[in-house]
Amino acid sequence: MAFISDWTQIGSDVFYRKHELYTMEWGGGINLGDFMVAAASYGGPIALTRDETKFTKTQQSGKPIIFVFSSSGRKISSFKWMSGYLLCLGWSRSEDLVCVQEDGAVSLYDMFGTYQHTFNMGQEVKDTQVQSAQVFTSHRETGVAVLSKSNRVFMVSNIYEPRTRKYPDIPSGVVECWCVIREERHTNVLVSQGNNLLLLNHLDQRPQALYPEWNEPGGCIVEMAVSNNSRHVALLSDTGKLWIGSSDIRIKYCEYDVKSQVKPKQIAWCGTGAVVLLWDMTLEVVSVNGDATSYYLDSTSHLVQEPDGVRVLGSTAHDLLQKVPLVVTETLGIGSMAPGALLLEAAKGFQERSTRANDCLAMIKDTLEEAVNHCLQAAQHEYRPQTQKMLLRAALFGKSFLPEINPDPCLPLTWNQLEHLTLPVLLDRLVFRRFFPLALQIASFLKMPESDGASRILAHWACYKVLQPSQKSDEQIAKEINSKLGYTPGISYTDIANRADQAGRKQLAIKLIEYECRAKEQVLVLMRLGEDQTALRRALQSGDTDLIYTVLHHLRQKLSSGDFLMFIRNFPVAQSLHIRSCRELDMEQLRDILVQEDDFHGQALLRIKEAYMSNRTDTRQASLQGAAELFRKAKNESACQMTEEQVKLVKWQVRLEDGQHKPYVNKSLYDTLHQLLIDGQIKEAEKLKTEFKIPERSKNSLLLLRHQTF
Amino acid sequence: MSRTGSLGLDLEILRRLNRDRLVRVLEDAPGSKDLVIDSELLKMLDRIAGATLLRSHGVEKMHKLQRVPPPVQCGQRVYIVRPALVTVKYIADHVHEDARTHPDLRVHVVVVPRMTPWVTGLLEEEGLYGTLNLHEFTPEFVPLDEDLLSLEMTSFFRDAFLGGDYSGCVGVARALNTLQGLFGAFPNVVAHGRAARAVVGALDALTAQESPKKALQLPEIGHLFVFDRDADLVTPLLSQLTYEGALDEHFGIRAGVVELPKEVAGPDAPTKLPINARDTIYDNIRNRHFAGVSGYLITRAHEVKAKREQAQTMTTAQMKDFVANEIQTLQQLQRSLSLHLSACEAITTRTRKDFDSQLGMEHGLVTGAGTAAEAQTFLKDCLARMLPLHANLRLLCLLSLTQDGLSRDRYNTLSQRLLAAHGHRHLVTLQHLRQIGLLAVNESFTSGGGGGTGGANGSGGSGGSGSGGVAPLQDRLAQVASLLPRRGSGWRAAAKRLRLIPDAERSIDLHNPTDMSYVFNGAYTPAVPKVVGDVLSGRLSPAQLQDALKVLPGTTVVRTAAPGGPPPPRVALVVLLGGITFAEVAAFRLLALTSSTRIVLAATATATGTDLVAAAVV
Repeated sequence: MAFISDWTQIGSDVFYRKHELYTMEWGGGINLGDFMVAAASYGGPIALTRDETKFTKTQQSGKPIIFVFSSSGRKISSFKWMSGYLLCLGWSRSEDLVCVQEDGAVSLYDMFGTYQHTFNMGQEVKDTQVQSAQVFTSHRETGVAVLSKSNRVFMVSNIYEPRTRKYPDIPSGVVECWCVIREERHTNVLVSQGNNLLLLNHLDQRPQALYPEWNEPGGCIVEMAVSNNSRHVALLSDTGKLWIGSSDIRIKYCEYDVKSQVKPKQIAWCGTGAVVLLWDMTLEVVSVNGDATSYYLDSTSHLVQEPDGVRVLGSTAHDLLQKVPLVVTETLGIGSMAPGALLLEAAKGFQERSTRANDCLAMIKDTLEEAVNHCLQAAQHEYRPQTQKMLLRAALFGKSFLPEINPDPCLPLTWNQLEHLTLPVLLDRLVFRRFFPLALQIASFLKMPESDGASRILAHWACYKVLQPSQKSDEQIAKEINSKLGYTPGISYTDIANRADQAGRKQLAIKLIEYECRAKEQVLVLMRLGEDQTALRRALQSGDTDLIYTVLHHLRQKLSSGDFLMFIRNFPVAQSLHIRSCRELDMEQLRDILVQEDDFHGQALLRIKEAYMSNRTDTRQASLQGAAELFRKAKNESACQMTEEQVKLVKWQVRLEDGQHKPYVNKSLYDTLHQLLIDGQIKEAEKLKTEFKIPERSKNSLLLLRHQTF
Repeated sequence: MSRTGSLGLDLEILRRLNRDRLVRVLEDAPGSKDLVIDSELLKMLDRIAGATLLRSHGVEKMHKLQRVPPPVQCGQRVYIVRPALVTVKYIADHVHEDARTHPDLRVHVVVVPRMTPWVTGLLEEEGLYGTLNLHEFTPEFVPLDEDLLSLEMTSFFRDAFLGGDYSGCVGVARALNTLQGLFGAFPNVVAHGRAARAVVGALDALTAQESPKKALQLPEIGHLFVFDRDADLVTPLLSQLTYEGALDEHFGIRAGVVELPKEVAGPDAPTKLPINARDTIYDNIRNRHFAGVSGYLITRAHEVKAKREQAQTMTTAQMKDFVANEIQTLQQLQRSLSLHLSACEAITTRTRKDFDSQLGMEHGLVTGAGTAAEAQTFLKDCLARMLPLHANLRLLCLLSLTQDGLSRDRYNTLSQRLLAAHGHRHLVTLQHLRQIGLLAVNESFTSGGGGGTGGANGSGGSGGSGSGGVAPLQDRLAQVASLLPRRGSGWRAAAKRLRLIPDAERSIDLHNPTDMSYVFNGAYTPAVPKVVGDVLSGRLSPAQLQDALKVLPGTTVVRTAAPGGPPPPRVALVVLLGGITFAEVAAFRLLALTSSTRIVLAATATATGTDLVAAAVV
């Protein structure tokens, strides 16, 4: 029974198993004891840097180097730490390396050592300096908490939106240890100081004292650990007593005597069922019921807390310690009579052509489906492909089929962790590691929708591709990318082009943006790249007026008025839109265009509009006179004549106004005549009629109207 | 005239969509606020949300947007406006003025239907860009009735056909896309005209962006027709003869609400009257020829009176039943009857005494029975009598359209008279009418580059391209407005090809119509319903349709469902870009009956010929 050889029983029916994930590729040469270690959860990368506190300061050590390794110990990158004194390392949820300095500056790097950005914990932190710091992650965010040398806690709960929050003051004195407890809406800090245990809440004015129930009170807490879901906490006193209970300290699960005066190097939770204490050579697992077991280690190790277990990182090997899931215990456990176990037995019997198969099957006849499910679930929780195969064969034997879960060689993920992470995130992580083909394979294997899977991966690949120096011409690269990507939904050529532009490859960006099918994105990028002509052409092709206006606006700001007008002359549609917007806003600009185009008729009409905008008679007359000239130039004789008549009429009207002190100027010819008839100015009316050749018939109609008015 | 019952298309959902969207905009300014509303949008907003809804989302007071800022009574003010120069200027003035006295006033501006770049530009110039909170409210089609949708984009006609700005098409396409999302993709599409093509293009782009799952939805709308208003400019210019049309011409119907003057509505009754199929009396008379309406109303009034008189002789039990069940409906009927009777009366008195001769003239022009010279004399008289500008312009345009353009002489004479009557400034109006295509001048071709600066004239802007740089801008604009041959083969040829003029010999029953031409006394069939009817009945195959529509200005897109599929549902959506007249609505309602198809009409707005010519008036 090889598959349960690594199980250890703790208590009555709980098993823990510790098995090796990888032999570290970095070889045995690294003594983790000399390093500051930070490993990302969910099988993420490991960062190492020499721990300065382990060496005497006199040793003139230059700038430290930070190494990043994969979980299997393969080096991903390394870079020289150029900033101030490095206090703490950690990883964010999206696998960025978080580096906290003594002066409160927090810098982020990606796993390839590329600098991302830096933020600060605030002036006060800078002034008082940081004593210790912690990087913590919750379900969604990653935060940083620091304890200043003035015994104040400051926290940024999301490093991507840094807002520093100050916690109530801790009384002066040495802080033994502290940890961060994340709750639904707020984040508390648990601090051990002397014989006191304090809970800090940023809403309260002062710390709240907590009193865990010890068998023998009076100890001082020297180490503590919070479970990944923040519900449970483990406290270790200087007398070697381990208190395990709820994170609000109200409920005590057990108290365990570790029987060691040496302070452990690290305490961590293994899932939610046990606490692991790490010394130089031993590892002790204490379940929440107070049962315990211990393992021996062959090198100085580091614990990485995971939601369903703990990873033990050593100089030569990388192990996972976890509670054996119930379904696995039931299926593979010795002497188990659970349906899954019997099905497995039946399958084995079948292979050996033994009658045992029949007997076992008969026993689980009614629970066959359950049995199959159990086998499948157990297979999901297994690492060794043989065991998985055996379980799956049993499940298959139980007449069912479900896709096998592909154990991924480079990411030691457990099934529970995968469920936590969700598949798209897993793919992203593969993509960040630049394992493009593998990610693609998984996506197609799992039949993920294109927009979630393949196209996203391809887009990332393309972005990466444009950043790589290459001998090929821009044209070729663009073509190559297009042939791979096609027009899959969810792919944004804009993003890729932007990436190329950022990398200073403008020509490539221009080539790439050609492939963008969303006109708006395309035009905006083209404008940014300075390809105005193409941008305008594309905007016009799209028929989206807003987009055309956007380009025109951009051009107007960029070019001089004359250049602008010449530029849009070649684009009649754009020109007409511009004229329309001028009509709304800018008469002068409109006139410029009309003059440029030698459009006398248009200029004349513009003059007429202007004429009636003014209330001053002399301005109006001047404008009308100008309009008449322009109509003549445009060889529009009738309009010219009508305008000249109007000039004459206004003169008459002015004269009438002067004589009668009545408004006439805004009246039409017939209105004027009508008014005169109403007023009984028969003589004037007659003169007007003759002068402006008003037909008799019209005059009679107006006369008729006069009678109606009375 | 009862229509086919609603065939499952739940257009009410649009009302809910609009309400929700408006609420979201209001909640963008949380807490109590005052509204300042562009008067052009009042009716539509009224239609979308009642006062209670507004109040429940924090609206305290409502003001019309005017030059003078409303009093500040609230910490927040929300402007709801169209993107227009004057509205933005008013807002800017208000903000500058209030900033001194009420520095804490938070101002939100909601632009309907969309923010345009020049509005932001203008706000920037005014130094207000950062201080205002800008929002957009893009309404869906507003269901005015169970078969009539409107976007209430009243400026669409002016923007597109005069300004050459087709940006409204995107809004129409979006609204159509919503319908597509609700009722499935349109299997058969006919679109004709420049704006219609733009709408279909934008709709395609929107469809392409969506997930392909949508395509699986079974279509509930079998046919989509999209037409530009300039496919038939004659219909709006003719005087409307249905009751609903007459109401629109005389009192104006906006967003399905007619505003009656006090003397018609009665002293206490509300003057704003929503009119739709829910009013059973109205539903029965709206599409009737006006001549038959008052007769019908009187008959009904007698019936109601008889019912009431019966009540005098009822037993107690009967009376109880009567009071419980009937009296309320009767009262409602009576109210409705008396209102419509007084509206009828008002329309009759307002109608000019020479309305008959006007009608005869209009119909003579259309059928060809009357001559242009007669019409010219008639128009000159109208001008001399100083009839309203819009009436005269309508007549002038009708004359020009039915003659396929005016001769230079006639144009000169008539324009000179028009300016004499209404003022010289209308020289620009005439130019605008020519740009839209409502008015055209036939130049003799020998005049060369001489007087031909008129722009979009009857036989197309063919001269522009040759002379290159010296081509007058108007010609270039005309070119732009018609990248493809814009004018069809003239109205007369189109009317003949599409058989819009019914046989004069056939008599038309105006009161129990069977032919759509009843809306114009049997003189003319509105072109759009005619074409739609021919397609729905199969008289025009897709290929024939392409050919037939060549006579109309613009180009055609025809798409048919893949053969072999299930027959498309007998539901048609007809979109008119630039406004639909109630004469056409009535014709479509008749078509729906005779072709047993449910026809849903959707327009940028409801309009009359007056609205169209008003777009050109400066």
